[in-house]
Amino acid sequence: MALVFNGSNNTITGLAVGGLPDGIVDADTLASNSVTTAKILDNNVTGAKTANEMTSGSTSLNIGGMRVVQGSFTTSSSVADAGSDTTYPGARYYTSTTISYSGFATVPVVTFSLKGGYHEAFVSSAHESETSTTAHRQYFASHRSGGITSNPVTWTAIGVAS
Amino acid sequence: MKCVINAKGEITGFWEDGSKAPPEAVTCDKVYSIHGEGPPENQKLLYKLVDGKVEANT
Repeated sequence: MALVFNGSNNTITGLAVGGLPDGIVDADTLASNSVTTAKILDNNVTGAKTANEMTSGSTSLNIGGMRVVQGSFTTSSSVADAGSDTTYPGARYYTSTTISYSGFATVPVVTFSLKGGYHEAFVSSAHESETSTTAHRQYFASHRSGGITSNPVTWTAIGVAS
Repeated sequence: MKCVINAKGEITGFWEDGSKAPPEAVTCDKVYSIHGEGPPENQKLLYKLVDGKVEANT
């Protein structure tokens, strides 16, 4: 097929695949949002090509259907006393905090990091029923009350994005 | 001084430093170091908030 320049409808026909010189189509020539998924070779989007959107100060990010949410809080300056040193050895004192998040289709996995100086203080179990796609109630326990009072806690929730 | 209360007005935690309390916390006239007794499944909260004042939860 011969190359035809049509001046009435401003089209060029007959151009062969690969007929343009290498490197001639620049970014401005491509229309916005014109590169569809089918045009990208499988396994060719590398990490370096992904925007670093989870920057300092941001709290959430969706990556290919997976959602990550981060947060922090300070435990209360008061605790509950389970009874005595021997009733629940090592876990006499406890407290709980309910965190909230959004954007999950299923109940996410939540991890906590408790910062303190008490070796026996620990992140305990989640409440048996107060975990959902929007909230999570977490217990903290210690043999000494100081291990879980006024301590900074950071958390990360990972799950399926809604 | 701030505290967090549940739907029944019972205090579930005190914060001596109100600036570190969660957004839902309300002002309390005093704080205690122990807010509850008993294991989690049978916890008795010791205080409630009535008109901004902390009272024994009897």
